[in-house]
Amino acid sequence: MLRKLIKYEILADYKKYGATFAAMLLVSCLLLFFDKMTSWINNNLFMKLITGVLGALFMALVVVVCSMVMVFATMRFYKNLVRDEGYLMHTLPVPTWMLIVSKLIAVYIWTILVAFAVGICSGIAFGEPFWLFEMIGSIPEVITEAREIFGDGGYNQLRTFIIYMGIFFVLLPAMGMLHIYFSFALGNLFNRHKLGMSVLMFFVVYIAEQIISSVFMMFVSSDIMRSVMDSQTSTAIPDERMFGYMNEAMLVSIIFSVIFSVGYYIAAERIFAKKLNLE
Amino acid sequence: MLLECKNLCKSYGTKIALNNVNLNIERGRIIGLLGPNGSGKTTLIKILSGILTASSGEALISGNPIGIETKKIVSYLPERTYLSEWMTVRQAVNFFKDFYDDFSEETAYDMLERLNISPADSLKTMSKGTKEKVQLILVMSRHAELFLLDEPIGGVDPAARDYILKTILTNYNENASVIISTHLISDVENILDEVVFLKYGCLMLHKTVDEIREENGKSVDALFREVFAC
Repeated sequence: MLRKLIKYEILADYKKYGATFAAMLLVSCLLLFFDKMTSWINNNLFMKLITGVLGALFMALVVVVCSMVMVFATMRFYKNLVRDEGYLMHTLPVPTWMLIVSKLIAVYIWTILVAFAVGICSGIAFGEPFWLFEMIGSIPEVITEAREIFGDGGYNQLRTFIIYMGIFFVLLPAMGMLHIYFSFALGNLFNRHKLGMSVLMFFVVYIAEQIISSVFMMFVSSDIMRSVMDSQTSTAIPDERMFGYMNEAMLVSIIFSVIFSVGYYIAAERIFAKKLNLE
Repeated sequence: MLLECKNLCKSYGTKIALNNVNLNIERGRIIGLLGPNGSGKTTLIKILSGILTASSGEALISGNPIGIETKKIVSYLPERTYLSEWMTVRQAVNFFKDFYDDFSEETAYDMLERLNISPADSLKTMSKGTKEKVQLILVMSRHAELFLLDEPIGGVDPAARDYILKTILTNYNENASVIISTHLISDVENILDEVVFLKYGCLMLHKTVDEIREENGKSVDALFREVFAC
């Protein structure tokens, strides 16, 4: 059933994404073409102007494409589970967690596809179609250089930091979307102005999350804060220690993200399963 | 017993939408759920379909509390359009086929053909009435045990109304029951076996149509007008 739900999530939005990817590909091809033309026809102001406009358009499209996953996913969740379509979705013989998880998995699928599309189109636009693969290929070289610069200890800390960063970025879409889903679930509890209350709840939850994080950060990672404060006045701290502090801070952020995401998920699932209140 | 409601209550803040409703429905019946606006008809249907949670009391369908097991055997038609606009009619049929084991694709396409609705048509470009017809076709193409139809004939023309009522009559089996909520009593009266009157969330009357005619000497429509006279 989960696979079927995901299938319909993808079917619901593939045309919108497809059209945006096609537009981005077209602009990137045009940008490459006019850039080559400009280099062949020296100092042609018109060509330079077109290339500049296309470059700005391409950058705008990249921003739109990168932000559209969250926008489309939010709209889809609202329309599909909270508004009229919810009358069908909530009467399907599937558990509530599947409805939420299918939407979350769709967000990840679209995020990966958007990342690929932006990577490929950027390569075309800047005349380096294989830059992504070249960058991946140069990783061993970068590792060797990093080991030389930071030493074995510093390099190990840097590697851990990069892994933590990777985990954090993987968690990022889930964190954002579960916060939004939870806000919609809270908004659903009100008998009137559900959308307005959902927006209000989003900010209330965000502020609460920031307060809780800050308070915990002050207690849990006071050592990190003190070390960073000390480093402002003393001489430069060694790379190994600096990366160590950064890793600790990153790990705390990841733990908080996981705790909040799991909390939002459980709360949203329970509310939609037990306190569903469609208009 | 197909449906058992025991002391079912639902309130929205201080407003009571359903007040201690006790109702038993057997299999093979067509029941008219009747009452003025705000009497609790839609609330009761929403609770039975799993869209709303009761404040207190219990509802059992085929012995199961409202949940995934009851959703497998309940076919629900809400009073609003619930199909996604990005879908074509064929995709909507596939959606029902994917999620409901009791859905008959053949029955759905047969009914669509009779109403001249092309499976390739997009739901986005359809009129509200046509969308409602598609929804009813999808809902009635299931071999469900309980059909919950909330105002199924409210938004369609009189000609389609007859077809819809004929569809309801021919598409449910003796093992299933149909609960129809409507204001258009005279239109549905001929197909009803029983009627349930709701007023201010309370169950006022639950009788067979024959009993009403024999005991009250009136049609259901006439009795409704008398009971709910303003």
